[in-house]
Amino acid sequence: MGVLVVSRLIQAVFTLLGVSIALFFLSHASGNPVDAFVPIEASPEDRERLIHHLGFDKPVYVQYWRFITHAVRGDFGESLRNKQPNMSLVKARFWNSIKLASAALLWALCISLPLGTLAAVHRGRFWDRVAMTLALFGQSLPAFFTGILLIYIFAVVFNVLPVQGAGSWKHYILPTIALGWGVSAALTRLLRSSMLEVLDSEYIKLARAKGLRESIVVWKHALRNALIPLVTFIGFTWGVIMGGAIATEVVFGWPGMARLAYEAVVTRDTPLLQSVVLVWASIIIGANLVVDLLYGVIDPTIRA
Amino acid sequence: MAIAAQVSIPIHVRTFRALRKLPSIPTVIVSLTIFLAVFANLVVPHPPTQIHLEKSRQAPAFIEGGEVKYILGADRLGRDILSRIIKGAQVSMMVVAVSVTLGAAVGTAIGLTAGFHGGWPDAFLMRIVDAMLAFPAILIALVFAVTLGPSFWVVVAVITLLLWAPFARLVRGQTLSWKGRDFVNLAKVAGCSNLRIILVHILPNVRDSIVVLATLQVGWVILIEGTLSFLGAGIPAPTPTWGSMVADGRELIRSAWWMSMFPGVAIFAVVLSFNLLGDWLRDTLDPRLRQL
Repeated sequence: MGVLVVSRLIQAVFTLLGVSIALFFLSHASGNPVDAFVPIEASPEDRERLIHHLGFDKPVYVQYWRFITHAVRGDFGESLRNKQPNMSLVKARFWNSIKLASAALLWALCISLPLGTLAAVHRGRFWDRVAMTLALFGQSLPAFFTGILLIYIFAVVFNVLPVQGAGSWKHYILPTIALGWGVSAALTRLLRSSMLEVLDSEYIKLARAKGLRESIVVWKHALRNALIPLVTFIGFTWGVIMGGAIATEVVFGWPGMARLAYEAVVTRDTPLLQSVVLVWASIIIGANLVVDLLYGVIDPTIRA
Repeated sequence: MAIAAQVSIPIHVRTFRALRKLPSIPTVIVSLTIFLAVFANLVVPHPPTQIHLEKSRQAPAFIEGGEVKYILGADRLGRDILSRIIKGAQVSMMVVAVSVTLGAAVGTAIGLTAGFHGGWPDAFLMRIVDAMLAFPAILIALVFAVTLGPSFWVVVAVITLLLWAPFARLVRGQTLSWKGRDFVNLAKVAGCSNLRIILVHILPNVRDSIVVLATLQVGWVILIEGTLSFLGAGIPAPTPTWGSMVADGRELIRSAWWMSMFPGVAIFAVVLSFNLLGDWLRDTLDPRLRQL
C-alpha cells in the first residue's frame, strides 16, 4: 500500500512537470511573448530593453530553469498587466473557485443520488423517464447558456436573485445550479447504470429473501455498493467542474480563479495564465491522486 | 427444372424501411442543420455580416416593434439574427466535420496499433490517453487560443487533440477482444501480414462502435466550440458563431433577449438531436455499447 502511494505521488509530480514544460514552451512557440503586450508606439530600443528586463532574451531552457526554480518557492513571477506577483492574484481568487465548485458538486449529488436510484428502481417507468430526460437535457445545454437562461428567468423576468459577484449566500444559488446542472446529468446516468447492476446481484437477492424491507434493501445495501464507481467519477468530475467553471464564473461575475484565467486570456497575459493553469492542473492531479488512493480504501476487492 | 427463385427485397424498399425506423424529430433537426450548413450562403435572408446601424436591436417579428424582414430580430449592429444563426450552423458543422473525422481517424489508428501489438507501446499510449482524458478541455483550448491566436484551424487542432483519446481507448478495447477470435488466428496461420489482419479483419468489426462514438461526440464538439467562441477564444469576428452571438447578447439580456436566446436554443436543439440520434444508433447497432 505504501509503495502504491509513493509511486502514484511520483507519477503525479512527473505529470505536473510535463504540464509545466508543455505550457512554457507553448507560450514561447509563437515568437517572443513580449510582442503580445508591447504597445505599438514603442521604439525598437524600448522593446529590447523590455525583453532584457523580463529575461526573454535568454535561451528558452534557461528561462524555463528560472521559472521552475522560482515556482517551487511559490514565486510565479509577475503578471504582465497588473505588475503584481501572480501568486497573490491567484491566491485571492482560489478559495472562491473551490467554494463554488464544492457547492455545485454537492448540489449535483443531492439531485443525482435520489434521481439515479429512483430511475434504477422504477426502471422503464415514470421516474426513469424523468431522470433520463433531465440527464439528456443537462448534457445538451452548454454551461454558459444555462447561466444566461437562469439569469433571464430569475433576474429579468422575476427579479428575485442577485446575479453578479459573490456577496451573500443568495449569490451562490444561481451559479451553483448552472454549474451543477451538467454534472448532475452525468452522475445520474452513472448511478442509474451502477444501481441496475447492483440490484441484480446475489447479495441483494439474499437480502430480499431474508425478508428485509425493500426500502432498506435499496437505500442501505444497494446504494452503498453502487456508489463505488461514482467515487472515481467524482474525482474525474472535479476537473470537469473546474473547466465548466470558466463559463459560469464569467457569466455570473464570480471572483474566482477561472475568471482570472479568462481575463488573462483576454489581455494576453501569458505569465498569469501559466500560473493559473499550473495551479489548476495541480488541483486536478491532486484530486485524481486522492481518488485513486481512496479507491483502494473503499473497494476492498482491489486492495490485494 | 425449376429452381426456386430467390426473393430479394429491392434496395430502395430496404432503405425506406430502415429510414422509417429513425427517431423522427432528432433526424429532422440534424438533417435541417446539415442542409443549412451546406447551403447557408444561398439560404440566408440577409448577408450575415452586413451592418445596419439603424436597425440596431430590432425586435423579432412576433413582438411589437418587430418587422417581418428581421424575423428573429437583429443584434447590436443591426445584423439579422436568423441569417447569423444559419451561417453559424455552417461554421459549427465545418468544425465538427473536420475535427471529428481527424480525431476519429487518429484515435482509431492509435487504438488499433496499441490493441493489436500490446506490450509497452500499448501501456505507453494508454497512459497518455488517461492523462489527456483527465484534463479539462477548456483550459487547454484557452491556452492554445491565447498563444497561437484564435482561428478556425487552431480551434480544429485543439478539438482534434482532445477528441482522439476516447476513440483510441474504445478501439483499443474492441481490438483486444476481437484479436483473440478464431478467424484472426486463422488469418495469421494463413500468412496474412499484420497490417492486412488489422485492416481487413478487425477494423470492419470495430466500425459500428466508431460510428456510434462519433455521433455522440458531435454534440460535445459543438458545445466546446460554442464555449470557446463565447469566451472569445474561438473563430474570430466577423464570422458569426453561436457562442459569440450568445456572448454579444449577454449585456443586453434585459432589453434584447433575442440576441442570446435564439443562438442558445439553436445550440441546445442541435446538440440534443445529435445525442438522441447517437443513442438510437447505439441501441440499434449494438446495445452492448451502452457503457458509452
